[in-house]
Amino acid sequence: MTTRAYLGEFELMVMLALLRIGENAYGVPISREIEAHGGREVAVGSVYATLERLEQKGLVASSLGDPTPERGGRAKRYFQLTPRGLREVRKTRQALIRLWQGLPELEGGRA
Amino acid sequence: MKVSQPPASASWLLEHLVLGEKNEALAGDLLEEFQRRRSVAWYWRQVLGAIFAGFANEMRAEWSSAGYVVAWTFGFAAIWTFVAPYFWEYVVRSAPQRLFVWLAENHALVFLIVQRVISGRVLDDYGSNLLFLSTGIIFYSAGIRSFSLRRFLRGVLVGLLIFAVEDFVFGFVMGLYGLALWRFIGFCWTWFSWLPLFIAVLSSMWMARPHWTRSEARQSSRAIS
Repeated sequence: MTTRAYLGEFELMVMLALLRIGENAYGVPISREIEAHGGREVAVGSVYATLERLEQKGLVASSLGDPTPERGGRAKRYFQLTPRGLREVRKTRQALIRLWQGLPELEGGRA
Repeated sequence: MKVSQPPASASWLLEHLVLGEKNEALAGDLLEEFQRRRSVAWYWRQVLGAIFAGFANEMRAEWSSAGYVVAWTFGFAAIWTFVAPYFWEYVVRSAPQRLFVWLAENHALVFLIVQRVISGRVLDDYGSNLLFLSTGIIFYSAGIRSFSLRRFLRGVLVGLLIFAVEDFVFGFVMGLYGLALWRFIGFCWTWFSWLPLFIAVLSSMWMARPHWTRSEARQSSRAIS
């Protein structure tokens, strides 16, 4: 039996942002994506801390780009979901859909 | 006019206070975003957020060390402070018990410190607090499988240094506002007085544990590969 890596809310948001952005996923675009859809300012440091954790769990992989002058000679770190990460997102989605079904409080789109 | 460079002090904090990996990429991201369209206030918020997130991540990853520090500073010592008087008066009667007490007396100084801290005399007991701090690190280090004397000594030194600075600041604040605070906060103040000791012990643990810096971790991974 494999161990499930349960995802927190922010972890799931970061992973979905990775999927939406695709190849160019590094700290700033990921934060912008979450800000655009989540409606709140996101600390880039929190995104990195979360990505570090996800990488340790084997759900995300990263690679370094080339250093650029506008970044003070620092390289970008690009992230992408691993196949295991994608599976976990799918499982979480299915679990959430099952939990949401049949709840009258959540129907109609109003709080 | 928009400044093109972020505040140097914030960049310094980002460079030195964010725990964990990926600092270079994070610093580059913040610089890139700042130069594009963001304000100084945004940069400061990001830096403080990164420090907090890095610290929270480390606490989560090193929960056993963090738990030990909480237990040592707030749990074990505080409980003993309240239990000790009853222990001496009602429990210690037989010869084996006296032997146990004799053994315990070797640590009596530590417990004495705690009693004094709890009774509000934290500023008079600098030496005792340092002893308490060192004893905590000794116990912690004894539990680390790959014990290293160098790491242990570094933990003690860093802990003592941090506590010395904190104690000075604490004393300064007490000197300015102590009396008024004491009247207002009363008993709670004695608990608040644990904070410098807690931070010092926590810092010591971080220094004493294996691979406490990124450079050490890199050296270790290079050695493995």
